[in-house]
Amino acid sequence: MKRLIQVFLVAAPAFAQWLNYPTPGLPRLPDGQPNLTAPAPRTADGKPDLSGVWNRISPRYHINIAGDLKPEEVQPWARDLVAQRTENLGKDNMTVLCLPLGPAYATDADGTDGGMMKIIQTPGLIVILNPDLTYRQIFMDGRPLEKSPNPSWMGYSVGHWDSDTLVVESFGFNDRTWLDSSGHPHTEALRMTERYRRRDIGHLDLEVTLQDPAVYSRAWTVAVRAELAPDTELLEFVCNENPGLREHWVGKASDDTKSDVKVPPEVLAKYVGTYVEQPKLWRVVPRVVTITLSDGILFGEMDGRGKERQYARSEKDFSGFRGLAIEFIKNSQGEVTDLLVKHVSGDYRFARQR
Amino acid sequence: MKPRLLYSAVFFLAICVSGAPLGAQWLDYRVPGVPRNADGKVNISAPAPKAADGKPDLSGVWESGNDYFLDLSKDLKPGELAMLPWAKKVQAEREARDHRDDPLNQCMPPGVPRINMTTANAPHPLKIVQTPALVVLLYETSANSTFRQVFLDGRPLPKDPQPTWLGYSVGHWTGGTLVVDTVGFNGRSWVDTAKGHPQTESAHVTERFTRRDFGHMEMDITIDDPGAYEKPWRAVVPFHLLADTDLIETYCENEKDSVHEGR
Repeated sequence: MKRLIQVFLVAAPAFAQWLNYPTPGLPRLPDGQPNLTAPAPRTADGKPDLSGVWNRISPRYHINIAGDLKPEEVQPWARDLVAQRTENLGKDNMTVLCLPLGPAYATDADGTDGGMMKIIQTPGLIVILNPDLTYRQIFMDGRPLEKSPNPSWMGYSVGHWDSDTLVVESFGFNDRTWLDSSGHPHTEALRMTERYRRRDIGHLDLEVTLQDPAVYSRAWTVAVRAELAPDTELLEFVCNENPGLREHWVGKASDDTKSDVKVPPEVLAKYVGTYVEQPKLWRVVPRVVTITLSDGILFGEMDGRGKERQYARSEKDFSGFRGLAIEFIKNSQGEVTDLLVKHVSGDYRFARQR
Repeated sequence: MKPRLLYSAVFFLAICVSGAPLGAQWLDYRVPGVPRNADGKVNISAPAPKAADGKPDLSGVWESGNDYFLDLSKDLKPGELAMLPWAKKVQAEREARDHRDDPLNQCMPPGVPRINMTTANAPHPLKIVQTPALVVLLYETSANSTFRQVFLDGRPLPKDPQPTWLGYSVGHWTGGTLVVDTVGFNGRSWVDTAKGHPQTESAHVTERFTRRDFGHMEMDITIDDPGAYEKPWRAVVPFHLLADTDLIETYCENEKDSVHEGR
């Protein structure tokens, strides 16, 4: 079963175009590796310098931006919309339609491609570049946010410094983007505040506050972190190169539940454990899948997104990660050694930790 | 200088949605630090500003002279542009088909140097963001908003790059001119729109940016593409500054485009 879920067909082969060119100016350890815990650099005007290529990491809020809200704090129509979009496996997600993510660039931070951004900081303007060739401008020249801006995909952003924290206020988004891959909606009244703090060379902490009273009964804040991606660069990704993608986007989330094969609990028990991706993708942190068993039901959790029930297709094949299939691999002694995560771009191997 | 309006980015066959009617989003914001005459208008003949590192500061929103987007060779004398036979054939076909095969109509990036150019029907300026080690070029286009990075940190051009629409760019300063060299193209983009001059993977494009004064810049372009042309050819394109305004977002919507393609 090959169902699509994460869109971005992996677009980054390992050719030699600055994907491994040493980033100039990075402090380095004696072995030449970047010293990622050196103090954060500063610009000529004394502000922290946030410039660099970063990987945002936020598996939880990438999947569910409202994970910290109570269900009743989300309008019923919005909850229904999320259920419908999830059931459709995100077929109308911006990444499938080749449209910008809008406000979600701040919190979209996971997936095999995701979360890379490049910050370029100048005194009057900060620019954030994304691999899909979209960009954001954050005006630092003191201009106020427009009162009634023409709605746009990327919104309008102004920033200022609060001590060593960059505070970015954004407004003027159109209402067509989703706040997460589950499809949480927002209106044109959405206001977003981001607070960026560079803890040290290698680490950037980001708090994102979202306010949209027509959908969410209170403002709330999610925490995202980012790690410096040293010695690499953005690689052009043109979504429109794959125009037929959406036609292959078939199936429903509930299909997983319809063909649940009965697997004896003693077999399921052998799958319990922690599996780490090997080799890791170009992410800073390797992906981890944790398999647990509770009351005879198998659960999988990827990168702390929350446990998701795994439905058996056969004794070794399961699905439940929103369209991703998994397969457990045994060695000749019958011990479970690996787990394969099956994505449209190929199988990814996760080795069981002992 | 006329005020900038929001155009609904309709260019020939390409229907792109810029989000549309006139709205007030900093399109008439008075940018600080701009030299002005007594009447408050920008003094476009003031000297070109300098960056903190003493280099000319190219930062700003710039618009090319008209119609190089349509025909980059429009100022050339006969013989200055010599296409190889296959290229001549392809170019003639594209022109005859009224450029309906242009990848820009399928929302692909316009390619280099075309991405810098504008036309009266659909003005799309560019914005230069300059730092000592990196110059970022932000673009509106007839397809999607997009960007290029020009590295000034001394790195060499990649030797065997993965081909892309916009290539890989490095720059250096020669006197008051920023020289940008770009290679690594996928060979699919067109050099211009009405003419459809071809570009191959062997193209090496050089763009020399010289800011003459506050309001005027020149982009001296050389296309060295032995895959399509007998010899390098050149276009010198004037740019004027658009003060007190900014770029407008342009994003393409596939399904709409394919409907309006008019085959």
